[in-house]
Amino acid sequence: MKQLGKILWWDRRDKEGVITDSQGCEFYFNASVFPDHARLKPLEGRFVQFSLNEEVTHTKCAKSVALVPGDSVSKAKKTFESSKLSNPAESAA
Amino acid sequence: MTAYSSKFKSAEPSASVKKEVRPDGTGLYFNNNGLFSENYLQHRLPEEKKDAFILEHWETEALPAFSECYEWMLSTWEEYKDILSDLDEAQLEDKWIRPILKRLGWTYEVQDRMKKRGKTQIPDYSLFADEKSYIQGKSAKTDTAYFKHVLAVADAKAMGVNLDGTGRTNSNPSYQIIRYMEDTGKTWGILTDGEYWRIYSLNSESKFSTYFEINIRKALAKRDDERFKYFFNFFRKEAFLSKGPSSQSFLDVVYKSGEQYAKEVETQLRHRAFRITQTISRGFATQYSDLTEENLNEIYQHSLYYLFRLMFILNAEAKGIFDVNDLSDFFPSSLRSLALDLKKDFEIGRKWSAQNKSYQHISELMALLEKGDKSIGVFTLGSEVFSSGSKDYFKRHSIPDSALNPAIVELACAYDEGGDLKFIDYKRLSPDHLGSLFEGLLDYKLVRATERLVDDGKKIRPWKELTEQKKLKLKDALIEKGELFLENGSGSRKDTGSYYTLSDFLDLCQAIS
Repeated sequence: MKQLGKILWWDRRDKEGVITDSQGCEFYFNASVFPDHARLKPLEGRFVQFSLNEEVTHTKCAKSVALVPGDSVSKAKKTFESSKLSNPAESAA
Repeated sequence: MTAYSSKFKSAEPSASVKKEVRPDGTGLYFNNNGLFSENYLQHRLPEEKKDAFILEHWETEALPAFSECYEWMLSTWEEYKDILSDLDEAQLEDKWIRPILKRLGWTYEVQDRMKKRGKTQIPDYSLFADEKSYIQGKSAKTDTAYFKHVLAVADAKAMGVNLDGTGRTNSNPSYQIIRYMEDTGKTWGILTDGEYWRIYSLNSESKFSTYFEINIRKALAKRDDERFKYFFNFFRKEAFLSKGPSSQSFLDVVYKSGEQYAKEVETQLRHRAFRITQTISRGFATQYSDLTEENLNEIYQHSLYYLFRLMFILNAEAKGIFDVNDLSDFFPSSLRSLALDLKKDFEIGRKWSAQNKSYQHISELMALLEKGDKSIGVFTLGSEVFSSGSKDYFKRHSIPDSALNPAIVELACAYDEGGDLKFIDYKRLSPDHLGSLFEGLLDYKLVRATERLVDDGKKIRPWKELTEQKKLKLKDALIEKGELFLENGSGSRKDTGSYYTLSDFLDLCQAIS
């Protein structure tokens, strides 16, 4: 199932990064699961859709990561912010 | 690091430790390129409860300088991050690097000139502990006397400059900082482009390519004190200051932990390599209907070659020669990926069958490394890499999972002090460490037990000689009649070099180090 997330940081040299979801969970990913990585700079703060990589269990990893298309960003932002609000404990943290 | 045991031990991490690792188990918020012990960085430092020296250098809660530095960097990064990469070196130093050095407690002088070997060397920064040592340094009459007051040297580049240049010239930043360190007699040096911050040491064997690195972008993405500690605690002045009765700095202590770790791992692996080779030999032997002395020699020879190959791949993967983070490309083919799965199986006590799935995986991996596959980022190592022994032998024979899988877990993992099963940091092992492991194996030969025997840890002796109490104690070390085991031989292999692949192995390891 696809999830919505935001790129917390992206390492341009090592081509790896971390996505955070609206609940504050963080997911490791790298260029191999993110073909869009060369499209935009900087990538921090961009909204992405991704799936959980269940093959890796000792650390949370994302796969099938894709940038949310430009015309859907404001909708993604609203969805992200409203999920954050629906979990006030997390938002406060 | 404690001795490996085949008995199951809980591998649950302690609840307080946040797991911030890549899929290959390396730390995500620092890049330890062989300088320190990965386990020490990931576990010992954040989990230390007693060692006053470590606590003094790691705990930052009561340190106003920590928050002051972090908050300044967070806010300045937020404001300037989009333009920092457009600034030239001098501008970047002015807006970003020098204010950080000050907040890390450093007093510095810029662009000191010194003549060495007929050339003028100009390190960007000479770092002093305080104004007093700066003033003392300035009154020194010679370069040598001056640099005695300097704690470390640092060099800065414009953001985005590749810190791993090629060639041995000053246009290669990593070469340049090592030259500055050598010429000024400083053990420790800092190299940065403002985003990547590195520490180098002259103590390291491969000093140009061995470093500890922080990508500050990661720690500044959001406030997280535990992440920032890996920057602040390693790059601040206090990390370089020698203290206490042993006159060691924090960096010296952490570096020694890495040395100690490598030695411990080598010692453990030397003991285990014996057992692992025995296990692999027994695995190959399952496919023989008759075990003549010639067959036993053949099995042992190829078991050593097999062990050699596994260790080479573990070393190459740990050094990043093959990208074991690559989740969708090389990772599924890697030895790391197989070892991760087997480690999990081992931790839950899963039994392995007589199928040879792991052997197949490794055979395919070796074929891949020989030929290379650009589409998944694997360059070719060439056919020479795995040329020792008969190729046909490895095709005709295999090892059942029940024998090979425990051997892989034992080769790839070790228990730490807390009883957690952790991956051995192979990149911390030098070619010398790995090479010496092989030497220990050259004196053995594979033989079949003609009666019940026991390995009491010192020698192989008849089971019947043991008292009942000893039998109970050593029952796991029993060798049944007909079972294969390694017996100390005459050392003839070493003398004749007939099995000796050590130099090949070292050449390979040197090539990738």
